[in-house]
Amino acid sequence: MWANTKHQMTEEELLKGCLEERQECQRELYKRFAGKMMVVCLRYAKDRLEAEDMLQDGFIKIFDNIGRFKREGSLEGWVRRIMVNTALNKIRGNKMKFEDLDAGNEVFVNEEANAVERLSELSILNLINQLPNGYKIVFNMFAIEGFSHKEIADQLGIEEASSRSQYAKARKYLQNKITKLEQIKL
Amino acid sequence: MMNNQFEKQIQKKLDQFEVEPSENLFDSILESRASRSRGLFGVKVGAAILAFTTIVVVLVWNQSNDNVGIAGASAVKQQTALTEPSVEPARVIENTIAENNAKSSPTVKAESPAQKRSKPAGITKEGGLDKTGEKVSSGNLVATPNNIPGKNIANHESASSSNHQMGGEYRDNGQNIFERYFNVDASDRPAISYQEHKGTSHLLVYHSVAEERLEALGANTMRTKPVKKMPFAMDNSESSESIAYKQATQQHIITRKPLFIDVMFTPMLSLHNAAGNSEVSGNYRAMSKNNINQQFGVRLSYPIYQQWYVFAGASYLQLNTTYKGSIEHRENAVRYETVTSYINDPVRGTIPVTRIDTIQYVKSDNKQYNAENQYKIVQLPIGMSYNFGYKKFNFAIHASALFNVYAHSEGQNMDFANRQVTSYNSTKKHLGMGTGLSFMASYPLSNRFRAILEPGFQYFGINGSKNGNIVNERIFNNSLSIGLRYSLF
Repeated sequence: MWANTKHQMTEEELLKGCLEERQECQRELYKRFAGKMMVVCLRYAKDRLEAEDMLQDGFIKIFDNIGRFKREGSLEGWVRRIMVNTALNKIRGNKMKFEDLDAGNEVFVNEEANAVERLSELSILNLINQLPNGYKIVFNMFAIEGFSHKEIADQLGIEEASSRSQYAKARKYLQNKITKLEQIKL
Repeated sequence: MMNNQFEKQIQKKLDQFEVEPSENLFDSILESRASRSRGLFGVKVGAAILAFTTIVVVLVWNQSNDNVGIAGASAVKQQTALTEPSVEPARVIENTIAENNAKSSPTVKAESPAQKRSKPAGITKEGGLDKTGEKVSSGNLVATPNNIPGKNIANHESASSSNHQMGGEYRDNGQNIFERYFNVDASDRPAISYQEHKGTSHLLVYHSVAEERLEALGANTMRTKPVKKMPFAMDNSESSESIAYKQATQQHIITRKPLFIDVMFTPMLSLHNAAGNSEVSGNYRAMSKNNINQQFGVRLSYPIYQQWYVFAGASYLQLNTTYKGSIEHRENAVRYETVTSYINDPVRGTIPVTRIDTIQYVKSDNKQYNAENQYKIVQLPIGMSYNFGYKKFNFAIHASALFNVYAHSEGQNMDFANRQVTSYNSTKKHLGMGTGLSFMASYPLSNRFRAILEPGFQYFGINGSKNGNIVNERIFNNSLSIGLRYSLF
């Protein structure tokens, strides 16, 4: 009964509560964003364990710096940016593999938008995670986070041209894989 | 655009997707934050204790200096005479600066017999100053306050009359007196070989300096006739009172030398080199990139002989090295090509003839590497310095041995065999040693503080790679230190 009638906190109340270090507000903020942010971390991490590690570090930073949120954009955008930066900081120490991508035999790439639509979210996540580390990061940063190639180059310490070429290869690889999955389904 | 459609679709799909993390993750977040706060609290307490201890030490030190002055002043009441100190006759200028400050200094109102005896030799009755100088060796060089432009000694005295009463104004080995009356900077002051204080009267015996030197420094000098005897200092009457005074004052005469504490921040441009396996180190060399790094340090310099000082210190150095570039890998390879040609046979028609060619070629592959290493090093420099001065500037050449006693390193190694970059993370207690050379220039900001600018270089080796990579890095740092020098005495 009590749970059903529980007051749904507004974003303002949440922020105020977190600033005052109130645990129920911190828990609420965590509940709101943990699921989505876990997906962000899974995209960068090599396994679930590392993703949870990133998530933990990210939320620590969020709780520590909640006062710096300027309310200029959405809270989710701010949380996501912190999470992505945390993930990038974490993976900078890891090996960056940029070996040649072999997607198997070349197939006719299905550029049809619905090909992605028909796949499950988990399948897409798994496909991205199959990319070697370096390609995965570049793909995530460009295609999903919306970084420019220059920003990616600065963040990862690689050439802008490398970022472009790696992204193109990763994209082609994913499209190949998606097309193959489509063909298998058919 | 069809091209963007692909990204948008993936973005849309993943934006809607959620994966629940482990149940207890939120509790671990709270626990981590709590434990970190405890750690920070410890650091804050530690810093507060350190700051408090430093303040107490400085206060106690100053207090003990004041006590020396007070003890000296109280001894004045008993004084009858001072005996001549033993000095090196050939290289000494003796300067007595006697200040009769009777109005402001009740402790010296009752003149001692020695003072009475010394009056005819030139101590004035008006409460002003009188100088009696003697250079035992040939040539006479005595600085006087009267011919120093802009030095209003009377004003200065009245302003610091309370210090005079305590005998505290000149207790710091006479350096203030010299600076005021002789207009010579700290770096060019002759060393004091002997000093005695009687209330507001001070006997300061300096090692002589060449006349040209003083003139070059802009000191105001004048020639005087040789004085055979300096009554104040040369009085040899050994009455019981004089012996008592001598004992009382000698106990409190401390021969102090300046002890310098330097606090410095050092940005440095690091040049890297590598030694070890020639192939690997060659590759490292080819790809190394220069970085600007930083160092924070403290240095303590102690005088040992004339202008020579020994120093020791500790510094924290954060060194980022980047190895960036591409390496072309070449290997001999063989490929087989199938070539089919056709023969027109009048009987059998077109007959295909298949031939397989074996082609040997050099396969090349260009691979990009980007390995970043970070070292956090605690470094102990120990060395010697030679100090000299020009006008208000002090200069010093520092030569040091560097001991890297603790280092944490993390980053990436290039695994050339498997053609990939691997991560490593290691902590070592000893990371080699090296050497450093620097040239320091300092400029006074106040009596105790000087600003420091010190360009120099360091060269040391780090074997930072722990897991199998045999690269031994040689670091050459071009550094420019900026900092503050505090003179403890």
